Amino acid sequence: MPDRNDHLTLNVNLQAFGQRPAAWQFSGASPTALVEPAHWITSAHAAERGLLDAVFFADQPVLHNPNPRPGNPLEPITLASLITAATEHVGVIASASTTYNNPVELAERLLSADAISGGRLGWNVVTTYNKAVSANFGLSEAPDRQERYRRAGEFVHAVKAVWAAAAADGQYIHNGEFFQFEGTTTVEPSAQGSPVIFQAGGSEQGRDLAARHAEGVFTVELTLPRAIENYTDLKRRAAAAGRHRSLPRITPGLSLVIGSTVAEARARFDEFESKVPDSYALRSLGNVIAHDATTLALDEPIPAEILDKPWDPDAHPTSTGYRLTFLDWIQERRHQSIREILRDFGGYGSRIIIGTPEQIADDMELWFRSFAADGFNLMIDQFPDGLQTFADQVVPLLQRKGIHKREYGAATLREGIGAGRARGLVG
Amino acid sequence: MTASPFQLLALQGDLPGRLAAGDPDVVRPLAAFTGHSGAGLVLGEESRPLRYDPAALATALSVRLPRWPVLTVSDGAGDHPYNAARRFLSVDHLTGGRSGVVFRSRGSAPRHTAERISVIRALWNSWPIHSLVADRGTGIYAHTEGIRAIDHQGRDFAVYGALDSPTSIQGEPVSLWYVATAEELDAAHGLVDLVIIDDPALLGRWAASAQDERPGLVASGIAHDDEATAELVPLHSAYELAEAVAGIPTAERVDAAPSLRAVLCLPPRSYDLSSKPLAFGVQHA
Repeated sequence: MPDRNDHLTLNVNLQAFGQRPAAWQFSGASPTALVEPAHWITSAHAAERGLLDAVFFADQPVLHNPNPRPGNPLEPITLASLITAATEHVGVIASASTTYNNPVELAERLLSADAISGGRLGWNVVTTYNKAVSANFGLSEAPDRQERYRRAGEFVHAVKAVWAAAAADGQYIHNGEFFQFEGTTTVEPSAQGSPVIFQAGGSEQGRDLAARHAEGVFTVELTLPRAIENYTDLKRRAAAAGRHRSLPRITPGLSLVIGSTVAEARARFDEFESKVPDSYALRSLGNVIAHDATTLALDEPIPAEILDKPWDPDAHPTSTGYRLTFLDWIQERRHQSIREILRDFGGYGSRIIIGTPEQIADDMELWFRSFAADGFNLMIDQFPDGLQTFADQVVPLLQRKGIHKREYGAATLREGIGAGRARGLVG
Repeated sequence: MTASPFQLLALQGDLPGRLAAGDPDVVRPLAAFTGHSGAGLVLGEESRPLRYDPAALATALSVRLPRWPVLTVSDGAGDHPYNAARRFLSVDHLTGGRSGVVFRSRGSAPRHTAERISVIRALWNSWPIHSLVADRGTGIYAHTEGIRAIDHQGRDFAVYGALDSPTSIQGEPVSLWYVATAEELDAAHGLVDLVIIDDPALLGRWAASAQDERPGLVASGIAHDDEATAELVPLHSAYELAEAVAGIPTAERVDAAPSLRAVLCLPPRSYDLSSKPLAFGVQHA
C-alpha cells in the first residue's frame, strides 16, 4: 500500500438528533432540544474531543415534514457562530445556496462570521436542487442543473471578488451574466484570510466547480474502485486548473453505527430502524432508482428493467454522483431481495458501516491509503452518544495507525486541513 | 411608563469589532451583569457598509455575554425575507428568546419595508413550537396539522413557506421599525411592537394616534415625556459604554432570564395564519 504522510480530514455532519431517522426516540432530549444551544454545543465538544477538523451543516431553506425525521431548524451560519464561540478549535462548515442568496450579502456575512470565529469557518457551496425551495423564493420552478451551475460558478467568483477586496482596499466590481455590481466592503479578512470552500455534487458541472474553487469536497462513494477513480479524476482536474496537488481534500460520506461487537452494532442498527416505517427507507431508495419503491415486493429483487432504464442526469431526483456510485454498488446485489438491500442501503446517501471500532478504523485506513479519500464526512447514528463513542473508541485506533492527528496543531480550519492561507482569491 | 426606560445601547465605531475580538475593556463591564438588566445591545445600527454581520455577532455574544438581550438591524439589502426570517429566528432561539430585530428602510419605499416585515413576521409564526411533542409512545415528533404555509403573493415578494424553524419561546422576536417618515410611521401601526423615532414632528404624530393601536415608542435623542418604552443610546467608545452601563439598574438575579418581550412588558404577539393552507394537511397517527 503506498504511503502518505498527511492526516485524515474528518468532519461530522451534525444532522439534527442523528442520521438514523428515529434517533430522537432513543434520546432523552426535550422536544425543543434542536432550537436550544446545549444540543449543538454538546456535540461540538464531542467533535473537538475527537480532534475532528469541523462539524458540518447541510441545508435546504424549506420545511420538510418533521415526521418521522426532524431536520435542522436553525440557519447554518448562525449556528456556526454559536459553535465557534463555544469551542476552541473545531471548525464549522456551513452550507449556503448559490441559487437563493445574493453574492455580496453572503460574502460579507460569511467573512464576518469567519473573522468572529478566528478563522474557523467553511462555506459548503450548494446549488439546491430541491424544487420545493423555489416557492419560498418567488420562483415558480427551480432553475435546471445547467443554469444552477452556471450561476454557481459566477456566484463563487463574485464572492471571492468581495473577499479579495476585503484583503485589499475594499473596492470590488463584478460584471457577469447573472450579477453586475460594484461597491466597497469594510469587513476585514479573517485569521485564515477567508472561509474555506467546500463543495458537494458529483455531476460534471459540480466536479468542475470543485476543481476550480474548492478546498474540500463532499462526495458520495459506495464502492472503493469508483471512489479511487473519481478521486484521481478530481485531483487531475484540480491540477489542470492550477491548484496544488493536495487540493481539494476529498471526503466521502460515511455512516457509522458502532458496537463493541458486530452483533451489538447490528442490534443497535435494527433497534433504530424498528422505529421507522418501511416507507421511509423505500422512499429514499425510490429516489435513487427513480421509481416508486413502495410499489415493489419487499422479498423480490429490484426488477432489472428499473435498474437498467436510461436516465437523464439533468432530470434525475438525486445527485449524479450518488446515482453513478449506486449503479456500481447495486451490481453485486441484483439478486438480493429489496429487504436485504435496504439494510446495506441504510446510509441514506452515504456508505454505511455497522461494526466495531476496529472494523471502522481499518476500513477508513484502507480508503485513505488507497487514495480513495483524504478523509470522511461522518454520519453518526445519534447525537451526542454516537459521536462520543467515535471520539473515545475509533479515534485512538486511527491515531495508533498514524493517520489521525494527536492534537490540534493549527489555529485555523484552512491550516488544519492543509490548505494553507487563501491564495489566488479571484480565480 | 417607567421612570427609567430600557436602554438600547447601539454599539458604533470600533465597539462591535472590539466586542467580536473579545477586548476585555469592552467585555468586562457588560459581563459584570449576571442578572438581567434594563438594557440591551443593538448591533448594526451604524452607517453602511457594516464591518460585522449583526446576526453572527449577536450569536457569538449569546455565548460570551449570556443574558444580554441583543437586537440586530435588518435593512433587507440583498437579503430575501425567507433567509432573513430564519436567520433572525435562529438568533432568537440561541439567545433564549432575548432578541429583537430593528427594521430599517434605507431608501426602500415604506410599502416595500412594510411588506418585508409582514412576510418575515408571518414566517416567524408559521410553525408553532408547541407542535413539537417528541412522543416516543406514538412515534410522533411533531403534530404537523398546526403548521401553515404563509402563501404570500405580494407586490414585491412571493413566499410560500412554512419557515423551517418553529416559533420563538417569546412568541416571536421583538420587532422594531426605525421610522424616518410619516408614511413609515403610519405603515408601522399594527405591524411592529415598537417604532424608533428621532424626529420631534414624528413623535407628535405618534402621540396623536390612538394609544391602544399604536406601536410602543423608542426615543432616539429626543424628549418624550416619559412615554417611551425604551431609549436608543448610540455609543462610540469603551468609555461611553462603561459610563452607560454604570447607570443601568440591575434587577434581582433570577435563575431563568426573562425574554426580551417580557423585560419590555410588551404584549404577546402572533400573526393570524388561520386562513392559510396547511403545510402538511391533517396528520393521521
